Amino acid sequence: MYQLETKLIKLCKKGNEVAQMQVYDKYAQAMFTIACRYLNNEEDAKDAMQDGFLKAFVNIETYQPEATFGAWLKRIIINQCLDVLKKNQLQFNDVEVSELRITNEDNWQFENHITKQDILKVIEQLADKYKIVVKLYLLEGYDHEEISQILEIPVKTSRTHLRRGKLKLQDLLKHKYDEARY
Amino acid sequence: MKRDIRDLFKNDEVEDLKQLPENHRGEFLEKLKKPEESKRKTFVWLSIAAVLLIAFTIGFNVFNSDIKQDDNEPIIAQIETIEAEYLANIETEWQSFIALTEDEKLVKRFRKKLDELDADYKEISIEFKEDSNNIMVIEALVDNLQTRLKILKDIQKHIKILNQNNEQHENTI
Repeated sequence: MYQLETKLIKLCKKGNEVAQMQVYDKYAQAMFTIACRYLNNEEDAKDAMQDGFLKAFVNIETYQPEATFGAWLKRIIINQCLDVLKKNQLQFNDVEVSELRITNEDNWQFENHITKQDILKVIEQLADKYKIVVKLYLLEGYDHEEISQILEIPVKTSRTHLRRGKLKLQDLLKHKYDEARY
Repeated sequence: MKRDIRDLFKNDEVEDLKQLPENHRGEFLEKLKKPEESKRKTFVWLSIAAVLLIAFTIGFNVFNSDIKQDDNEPIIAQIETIEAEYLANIETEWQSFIALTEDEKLVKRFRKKLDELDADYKEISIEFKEDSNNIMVIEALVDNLQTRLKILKDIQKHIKILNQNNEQHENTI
């Protein structure tokens, strides 16, 4: 399995189309699913996914086997999606960033009855700049260092956005809970 | 009871996979076969051609200020080639613009704008025929063509963003 992939990648480096299509077939659906998290329009998500693949094949020489191929690809696809968002003038940066209050950053304890679906739904209601950071952190599992690289924002901004996003999440979920009780 | 929701999302890659649109494989194969020689490049090429032409004309004017009228033929021919290419591109953009919108008023408004620009262009063309060596006139011609392309591209971009926002809105409802 692992060896097959190494072989495929070798062939891709030579520009072998059949190998490229095989890699595409293997990852397309997962990558499309990820792209859909960032672009609401499925047509755009598909385009971003495919363009990301093309970019990956062009730059496949720079792929280092230290990371898995899937992780490398995912990063490219996410960047592609963010480029689309940026083109539509979404700002990730925030002017009023520096708050020194670093309170319980690592506390992600939510009520037990809250399901994953609840959380995903509520994330979509966040303001765009928080939404992206929360998704990168929670769904993709990137840390602040990585998020700051991907979005080209300072680590501090990433932390601030995440903290505010989380507070907002808790707030929204609390409302939902309260509503359910009455 | 509380739990850390980060655990919920660990290793989640496998579930809830989205269904890809049917034709995505064929489409990708096509993209793979002819990578990105999009219209943009033609525009870049056209701009370069226009700039070269202008530079050439300046040189022509400066160094050969005493040449006869007949020597202007190559410039006229070149302008005509560039014009033809621009017009073809404008027509393509126009078609894709019409396909994109159902708003007849908008289409009418743009038709009018383009017609006005075309009328301008004809006037400038007459001037050009009288004075083919005038750099300002040539620039005005190219400018006119570029403006037409630009407004068509801009409105399409705008429509796309609007459509996207609408869809987003519908999705949230």
